[in-house]
Amino acid sequence: MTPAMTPGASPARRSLLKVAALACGAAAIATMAVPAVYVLAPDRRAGNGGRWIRTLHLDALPDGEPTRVVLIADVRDAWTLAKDQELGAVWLLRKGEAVTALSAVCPHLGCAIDARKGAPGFACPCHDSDFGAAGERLTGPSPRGMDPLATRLEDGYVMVDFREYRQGSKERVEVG
Amino acid sequence: MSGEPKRGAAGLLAWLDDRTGYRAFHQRIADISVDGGATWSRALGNAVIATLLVQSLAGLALMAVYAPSTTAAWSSVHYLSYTQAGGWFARGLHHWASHVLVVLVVAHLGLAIGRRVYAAPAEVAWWLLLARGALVLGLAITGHALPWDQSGYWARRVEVAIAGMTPALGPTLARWVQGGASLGQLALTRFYALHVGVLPLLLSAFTVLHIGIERRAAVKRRDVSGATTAQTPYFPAQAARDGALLVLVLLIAAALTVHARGAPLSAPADAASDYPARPEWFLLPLFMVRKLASGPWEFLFVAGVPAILVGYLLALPWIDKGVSATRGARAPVALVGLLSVIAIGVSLRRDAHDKAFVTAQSKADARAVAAIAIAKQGVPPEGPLVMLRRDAELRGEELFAKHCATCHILGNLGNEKDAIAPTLDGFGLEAWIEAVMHDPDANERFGKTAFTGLMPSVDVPNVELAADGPPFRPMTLEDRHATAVFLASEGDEATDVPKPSPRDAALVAKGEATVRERCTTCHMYKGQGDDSNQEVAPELSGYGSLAWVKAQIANPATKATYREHALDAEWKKHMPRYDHELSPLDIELVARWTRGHARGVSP
Repeated sequence: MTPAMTPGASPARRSLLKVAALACGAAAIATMAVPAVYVLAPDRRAGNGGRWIRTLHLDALPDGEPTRVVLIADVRDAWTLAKDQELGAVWLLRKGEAVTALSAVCPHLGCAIDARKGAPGFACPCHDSDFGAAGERLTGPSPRGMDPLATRLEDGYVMVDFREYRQGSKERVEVG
Repeated sequence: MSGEPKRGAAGLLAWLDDRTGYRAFHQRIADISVDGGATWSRALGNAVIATLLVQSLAGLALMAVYAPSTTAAWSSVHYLSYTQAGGWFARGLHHWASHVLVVLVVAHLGLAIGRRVYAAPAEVAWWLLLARGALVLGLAITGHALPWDQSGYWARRVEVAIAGMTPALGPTLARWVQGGASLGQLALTRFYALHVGVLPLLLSAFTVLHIGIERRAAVKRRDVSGATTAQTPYFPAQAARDGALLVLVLLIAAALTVHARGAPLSAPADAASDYPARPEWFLLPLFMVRKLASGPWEFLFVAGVPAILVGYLLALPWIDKGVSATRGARAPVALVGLLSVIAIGVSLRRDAHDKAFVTAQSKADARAVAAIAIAKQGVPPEGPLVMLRRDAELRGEELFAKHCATCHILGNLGNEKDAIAPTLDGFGLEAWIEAVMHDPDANERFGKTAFTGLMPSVDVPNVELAADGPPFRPMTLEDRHATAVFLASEGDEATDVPKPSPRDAALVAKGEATVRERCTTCHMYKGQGDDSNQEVAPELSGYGSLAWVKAQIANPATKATYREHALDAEWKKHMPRYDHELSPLDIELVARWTRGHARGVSP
């Protein structure tokens, strides 16, 4: 059943109306869709890495034994800026006056690396990546060794340059 | 309308039907013809839809309490589970029904493949069925993130990292999923929006489309083949089967809920913790596949294996084109299904036998139990992590185990083999002090410390000192007791719970006199005494009080407790200072815990 043509509905007018209807629809969708996509865009501001964070006094670090230290710093997350939050963990290794720091985040898929029980070195509980006493890659799926972080001493305290690196890649690429 | 209008409820319903036509609509649904007669396999598909409807209702109930914020999510789920009337059941049902739902979806897909429902002209209907399955998995995964507990947080963290391994696109993909550089508030809000909005809408749309297109395909198939199949109305034969299966699903979910007293809740998500992450059970096959490859092959395996499987399923209508029901094309799917079940079993078994994993898991479980107990008193607005960090019982024990138990023993922490400092059970109380006065060099007192041999017994003559010192005058037992009572009273705090029992004022006075008379040769008392100023004995005023214990932990060499040379190299094994390594709050917490557990008062 075809609807009766109304007077004045010439083919030219019909095609104009068709275009107008489609254009209105497209405009309406774009009005919603463009901001919707923008709203989904990730936060472009820098992450929480790239800051010197004070940890322990050198005297509090045992010599030759890895110590897990939780970094306390202000954390920005979306709209909050929280004071003195637990930002992440690092392993500190002291040899005399020299301190090296290794990120406790597994370079494989981001789990928390633990000191190996019984033997020197580190292990990740998620996918069994093993690391040597200096954080070097031994066995398991991790594509690289543990991520070293810069350290320096300030008033006797060990400062750590906290950074986050991309996981799962052989190269060490910083994120954030 | 003719005749007398009916009265009462019947009349009202008749009026409503006249205006809406609901009876005809109802009849239309009841009469929908079921192709091939009522079957249990169809009931399985319908049970998936019915369970999803139940999930929406339970989910809406949860939304009345839940707050999607990293500082409030865990607390609101805790409130739901332990405070809100009926909350534990609504959450338990929602949680366990989601597990049953995954099983139903897999069973439904398996049955559909067995019956070759994908055969032309139902290819699009088949794709929609696959998409519905994927959406159910997506709902399960996003839902697991919402309590923002350790289990959900760490599983998502690993998954985002896997997404980040995608060649070229990875880092961008990870950022878009997380909404930023790390898994935080924006990621949680995204999971929430997906779980309660986007995925349910898509699933509803796909379900409606699937039913419509499937029915159309069935009609088309009949028209082409000319074969006739049995047609029965939906109601009551199929409806009864659907209802029975739904009730079974709900009974299973309710039984699991009652058995688990709700749904599990691990400790609050903590990025700085060491949690042994594991994915949901239905992702364990992928977890095992991951173990087969490493390096650049890893992503290929973790993403490639499911991609091949999904591609194979999508293409199944063309791969399995045979007119007769050949099994060859479906065998790989059956094999993958079988291997997946085996992989889940193997993975769970391996973890159960992995000592390091079991230890880490039980540590995480203990923290969850503690967090749940502490949160019952209310969670501060800064969130549950701050709550845990401020809790004297939990944080105090954690700090004592880490820093103090290496030398001291208290309760079940520390051990005799390694202990080189006093055992602290009863520290500051009469019995402990009397034991020191009688035999300061006992192993469980100061015998293994740097100060061994420095304090003489008050009642046992010392051979070396007796040789060139003034004649030894042993303290009477009454004086010794009075001194201990006095020193114990120095450690009493009015705020202690339970309240310290009142001490005999006469004994206390006698004890103080004894201290002034006999102890201050070496000890300080209220900053007085020790004329030579060369001794190392500690200050006795406030001995065992919170202020004394705090000062001793922060820095033993301030004269508030021990003397200014207490940290000198010659006293090498003496207690180190902790103000270099612990925050003032942590020192307060570990002092409260230690003193509380030593004296049997609440920290």
